[in-house]
Amino acid sequence: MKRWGMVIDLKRCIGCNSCTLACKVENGTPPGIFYRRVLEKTTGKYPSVRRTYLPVQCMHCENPPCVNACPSGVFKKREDGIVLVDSSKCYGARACRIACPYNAISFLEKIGTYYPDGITKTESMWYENHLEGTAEKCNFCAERVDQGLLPACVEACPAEVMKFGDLNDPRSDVSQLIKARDGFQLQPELGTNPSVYYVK
Amino acid sequence: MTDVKKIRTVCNMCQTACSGIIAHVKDGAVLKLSGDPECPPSYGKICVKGLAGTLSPSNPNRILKPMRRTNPEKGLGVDPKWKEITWEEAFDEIVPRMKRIRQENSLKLMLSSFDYPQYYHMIPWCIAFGAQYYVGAATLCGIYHNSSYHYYLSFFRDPDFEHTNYLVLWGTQSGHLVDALPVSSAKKLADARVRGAKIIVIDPVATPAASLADEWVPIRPGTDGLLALCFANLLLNEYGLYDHPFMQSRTNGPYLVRPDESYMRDSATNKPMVWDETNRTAAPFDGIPWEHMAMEGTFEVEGVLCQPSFQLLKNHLKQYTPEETAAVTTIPADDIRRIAREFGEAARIGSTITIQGENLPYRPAAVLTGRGPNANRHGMHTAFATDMLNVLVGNLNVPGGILGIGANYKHRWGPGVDEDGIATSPNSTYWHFFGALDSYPARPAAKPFMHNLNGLFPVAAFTDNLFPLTMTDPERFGIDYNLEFLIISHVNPLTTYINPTEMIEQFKKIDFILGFGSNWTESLEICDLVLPDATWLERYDPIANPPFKFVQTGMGDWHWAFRRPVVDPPSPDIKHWMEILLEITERVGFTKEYYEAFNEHNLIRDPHRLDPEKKNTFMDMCDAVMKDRYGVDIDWYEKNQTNVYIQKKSVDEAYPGPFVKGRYQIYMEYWKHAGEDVRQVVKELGLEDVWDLDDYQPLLNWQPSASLKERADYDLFAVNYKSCMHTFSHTMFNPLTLEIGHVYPWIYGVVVHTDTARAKGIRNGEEIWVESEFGYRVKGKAVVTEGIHPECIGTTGTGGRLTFGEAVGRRVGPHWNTLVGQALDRIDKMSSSIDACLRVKIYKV
Amino acid sequence: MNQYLTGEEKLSIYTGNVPDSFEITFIKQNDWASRELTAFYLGGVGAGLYVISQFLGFSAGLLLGFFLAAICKNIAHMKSASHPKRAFRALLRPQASWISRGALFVLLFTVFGALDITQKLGWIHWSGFQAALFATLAFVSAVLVMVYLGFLMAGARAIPLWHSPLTPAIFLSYSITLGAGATALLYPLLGNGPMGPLALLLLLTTAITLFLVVIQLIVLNASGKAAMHTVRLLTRKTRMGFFMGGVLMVGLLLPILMAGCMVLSGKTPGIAIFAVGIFVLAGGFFYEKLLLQAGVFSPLLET
Ligand SMILES: Nc1nc2c(c(=O)[nH]1)N[C@H]1C(S)=C(S)[C@@H](COP(=O)(O)OP(=O)(O)OC[C@H]3O[C@@H](n4cnc5c(=O)[nH]c(N)nc54)[C@H](O)[C@@H]3O)O[C@H]1N2
Ligand SMILES: Nc1nc2c(c(=O)[nH]1)N[C@H]1C(S)=C(S)[C@@H](COP(=O)(O)OP(=O)(O)OC[C@H]3O[C@@H](n4cnc5c(=O)[nH]c(N)nc54)[C@H](O)[C@@H]3O)O[C@H]1N2
Ligand code: SF4
Ligand code: SF4
Ligand code: SF4
Ligand code: SF4
Ligand code: SF4
Ligand SMILES: [Mo]
Repeated sequence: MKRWGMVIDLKRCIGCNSCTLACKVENGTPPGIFYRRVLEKTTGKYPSVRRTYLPVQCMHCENPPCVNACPSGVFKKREDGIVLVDSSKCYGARACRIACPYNAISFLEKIGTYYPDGITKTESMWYENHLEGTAEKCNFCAERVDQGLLPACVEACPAEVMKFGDLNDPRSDVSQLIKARDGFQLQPELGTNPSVYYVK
Repeated sequence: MTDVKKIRTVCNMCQTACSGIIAHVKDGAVLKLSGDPECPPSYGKICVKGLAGTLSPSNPNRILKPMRRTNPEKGLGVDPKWKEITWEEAFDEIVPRMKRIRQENSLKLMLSSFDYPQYYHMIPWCIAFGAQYYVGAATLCGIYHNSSYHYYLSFFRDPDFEHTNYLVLWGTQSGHLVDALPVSSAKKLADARVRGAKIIVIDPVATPAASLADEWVPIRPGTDGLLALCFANLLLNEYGLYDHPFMQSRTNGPYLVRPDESYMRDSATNKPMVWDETNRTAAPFDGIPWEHMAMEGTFEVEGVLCQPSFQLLKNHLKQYTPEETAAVTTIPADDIRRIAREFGEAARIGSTITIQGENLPYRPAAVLTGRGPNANRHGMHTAFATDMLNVLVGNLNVPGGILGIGANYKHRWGPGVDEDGIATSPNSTYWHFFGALDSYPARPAAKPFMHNLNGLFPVAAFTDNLFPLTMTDPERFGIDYNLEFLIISHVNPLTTYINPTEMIEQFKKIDFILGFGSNWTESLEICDLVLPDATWLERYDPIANPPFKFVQTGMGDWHWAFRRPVVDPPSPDIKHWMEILLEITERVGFTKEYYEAFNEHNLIRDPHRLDPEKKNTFMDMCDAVMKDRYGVDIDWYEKNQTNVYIQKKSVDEAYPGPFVKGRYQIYMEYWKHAGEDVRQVVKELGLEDVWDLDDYQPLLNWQPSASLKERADYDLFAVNYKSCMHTFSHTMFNPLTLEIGHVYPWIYGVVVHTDTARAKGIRNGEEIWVESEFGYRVKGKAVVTEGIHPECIGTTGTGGRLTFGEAVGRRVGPHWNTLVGQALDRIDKMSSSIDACLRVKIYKV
Repeated sequence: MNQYLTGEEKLSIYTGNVPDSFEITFIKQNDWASRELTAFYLGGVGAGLYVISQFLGFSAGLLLGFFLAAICKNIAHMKSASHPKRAFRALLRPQASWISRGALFVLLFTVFGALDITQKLGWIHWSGFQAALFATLAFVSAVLVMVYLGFLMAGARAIPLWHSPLTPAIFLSYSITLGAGATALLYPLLGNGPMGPLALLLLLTTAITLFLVVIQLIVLNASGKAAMHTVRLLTRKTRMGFFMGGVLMVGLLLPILMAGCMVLSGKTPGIAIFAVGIFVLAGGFFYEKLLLQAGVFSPLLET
């Protein structure tokens, strides 16, 4: 069985947020909703100042705490490891957001508009699939992946920071990269076993 | 989704047109944009600004109709009280005025735009009308003025990311989604980083580029020239790390210089002479093999003691010691020594590499300078000094080194050689497409007749940015008329140049300002008449990436991008502004001259030249250029529904270094003569007191600009830098980029060093004023960090929009340009560059 | 002087929940706030009051406890649900979700508590077995209502303050303490019942709770950076006043002292009992509030 996974190469990332916006545009998320975020941290004393950019999104955990936390059965893990969300079942308990260690779930309170003067035609098409008062998150671009495409964030990234592929296949790009450069997961001690790996 | 149409086009959210994209269109609206995997050089990748373009066409505040102002008061954020008018009414305002001006004095009309694909049309239009042009970019864009890499390389340049092992990013964020070809460079630089290339960033600010680099070298602003000269001193005098054969064969290093600083010339041929070491005699430079030319020593020729210019340079550089440089730049002397040595060693002088069967010099180390150090009071010397480091290691246009963009396309515009054996500007004809002037050989100095005063700048490529200064008192510069008609399109000078109120004062003197625009900007709001323009997603730009700037370097293919409309504009009144301009041309009655100028300017050859007697549309005109230049036409792109025409590059097109002839100058003899020339004109104009000519010296030097003088009252420098999320003011009107910008405090804040903040009792997140020596101030939130030189504060991009008709972006972030005043003594008298080295103080609100 | 560009106005497009900061740092949970706090607090007080009233045979307490834990808690939860119509779904996944379990416990408590009350107040006469059964089930479900929250919060793996085996114990202990506190408030007001055992009860429950809370902090402080940060959040700066003063001093130590004096001296003035009740209830409120406020996620990467 396949297990879709992603490797994020922190050595390549320049924090440009093209992935963030590629995801927004792909999923048509309303203002304030980011399935993918690029976190930033500046460390060190002048002049040895370093910046780390850390792109995060749903980690598609093998043991996803969100699935069990939600009373309403909103999250489902597919056989290939993709954790899907069915917002139409969500009533807003928000237990999922508390349970997810990676702050990967967004809660869409109200659908706003980008321009103060009202909704644009593009946005009205975008927001059709979004329900106010429900939880949403990255679905690993399941629809694209099922068509053999790469996730939108992976494709757009100017610095080619991400590799996407089958973690269960030792010859895949992702497995190779994890092996070659000591791939690691975020908060591994929590036992979630994310499908998103990082290399430094 | 079957009802979604996919249309290929090319991005234009910034001017680089670096990414082929696919527009997904549904019900006549853009649903999303994505990268086009088949289009080089981006191959499916697209940046944050490009993606934000998804919302551009559907901005509810689009300009839909011709608009005439009814409020005579012009000001920032002042409601012009627009009134919709018909096209006929609009033409009635424009055409008679233009006719009159064209008869009286056509120079009273000026056209300004930063719309790249349109330069093919705009410049000949100005030539045909007899108008002045003002390249929108040439304001604070330091890199346009200083002709160093225009001279050494091409109009634009990139390091050879694929091969370089040691890259010094010197006041530029190239490779970090800024600078030329942002998207593909980001990938190439990431590859280099993973490959283990060492990246050094010399910048007062720990920009993303700096803080991700192997080493951030914070420098006191405005002292870069000194550092470069010190590096050169170390390479030549201390470490002997320079490409001696290259100096001998490809520079004017062996040319003998007389005590009066001129070349020693052969009395018979007037050719510059060299010293023949084998025969111990002087000879014309082309009379002996280069191996025999002396580089060092003092020689007597016809009774005059001469030295090779290389020897002069070597001696001259000795004064720039690491210790003194350290004191001025604040960079420790040991670091200066180490970096110079690392750079020299990494260049592997003498090594070669085989690419596609050709054996080429291999110099995997490069210095890349950008806007930062060059937007300076002594920008010309600074730019040449930094670029000379590349010359010293012989890395010009060779693998691993620094490459001129598009320099040698089809060998059509390759650099020439003059009778002195000196390389002329590598593309001396083709960058004219952009309205630039040759910087070598020097033009004769002359009394200015245009507001760009270019007669006073015989070695600069652009001087257009001077026009607001000239307008304060044209007569002072010998100009006896006033601007009466200004056309602006795709440029926002009120926000990207100096203090906008000072600009408005000048703009108010112009009788009539015509603007083209798709959405409201500060500059459009001081126009008298505004005509609606199509956004890039609604129009054809058949020649989307000009060859002189936005094509990839190295062995990657040539890629000629084609922009096509993907949606209809929101109103039938909206047309490509070039079509409107053509219509105006017809009504004013100079189409014939326009077509002729178009043919000339774009070097169109038969049989593709336009027939000036016929009516040619905008598309016909583009077709002519494309057929002549690339051998394809618009139909070809349309038939294939593609956005790019790909041509293979040959090795000598990619790495022209060893294939072209001509010697590069390390001794600027021509500057000396140009200076003398200018002196005459300055005298005639009575400007001696204000027009200092100290910089016209043949040996590169460094002088502190006025703002470097220590001042207790204005104790800090305000440094400004681009953000990868923004294109000047353009993206400040886009809510998608703004939304992301807001999550990082430094993007719309004022970055202050921890110690500086502590000393002034400023805490992170507090509102502060930044007040400049010109007495202007802006407000912003303090972002206290270790990531900036303690003597500097930093702001990003072009924040602080103040458009009346557009709420998006209004007052977001401080507007750095507001701080900059206009002053003659802050302008580099060689390059016309305006000094961005700005003294400020900060205090709590 | 040019002052027109100020950088004051911000885009007013934020309608979602963009975290305040995209820094790699401690992120405060912002999902559970006042509505949840109300539900959690009233549920705890109510269930505690109910259980204690069962033992003390305190009818008013039974009624109020039921009202708080069954009615008010549910209303507060419904208020916080964005889609109340779908809120029944809360019950669907007791096999996995502590929210579902909690909802079920509240439902059970509502049913059996009601039955228990009808018989305790003599409205309906059930058989002895039935009465005992309802009382037991009401008791058990009330206890479950108290502890489920602890398990729910302990399940937040990345919030070190909550993710601890002590959390359920603390919730149980604190709910009973709060129940005792509520009783102490009502007793003097209604002027009935034996004050002596109540003082003893107050002493015991507050002492146990204090012990647990202190252990929680000590364990946390010893377990990693993020956890220490939490402790710092709780014990430094503005929150310190609430935590040290409100929760520890006024909410627990003072009641222990007062109840201790009462037990030792055998004197139980109504006003003192009343005061202890107030202190305990206030302390518990602050504790739960702080627990929610100091619920921070560990940074995702050590830098
Ligand atoms: N994202 C994005 N990309 C762009 C553009 C854009 O608007 N947005 N514009 C395009 C254009 S027109 C241009 S000209 C290029 C410009 O590309 P760059 O030259 O790379 O652009 P800047 O960020 O303006 O570079 C200025 C840098 O110099 C630093 N600096 C300032 N003063 C000094 C100094 O005194 N000494 C030194 N050493 N450094 C200094 C600043 O901190 C900043 O990092 O980018 C092009 N690409
Ligand atoms: N603070 C600060 N100032 C700078 C710089 C900096 O880094 N910081 N950089 C300097 C440099 S390098 C440069 S090159 C200059 C550039 O300066 P400008 O050329 O003035 O750049 P923009 O502000 O992007 O202006 C372009 C304008 O075109 C409008 N526009 C967008 N699309 C269309 C269209 O389809 N049709 C028409 N008609 N208009 C359109 C946009 O709204 C925008 O207002 O700025 C310089 N000034
Ligand atoms: S697009 Fe790529 S480089 Fe840019 S922030 Fe995202 S992962 Fe990093
Ligand atoms: S990252 Fe969060 S939302 Fe995604 S699967 Fe893991 S727990 Fe669930
Ligand atoms: S917010 Fe929605 S998805 Fe999250 S736990 Fe509640 S019901 Fe489930
Ligand atoms: S995989 Fe798709 S949904 Fe997930 S972050 Fe990337 S673009 Fe967004
Ligand atoms: S860098 Fe410029 S041209 Fe390239 S994708 Fe971004 S906005 Fe478009
Ligand atoms: Mo520029």
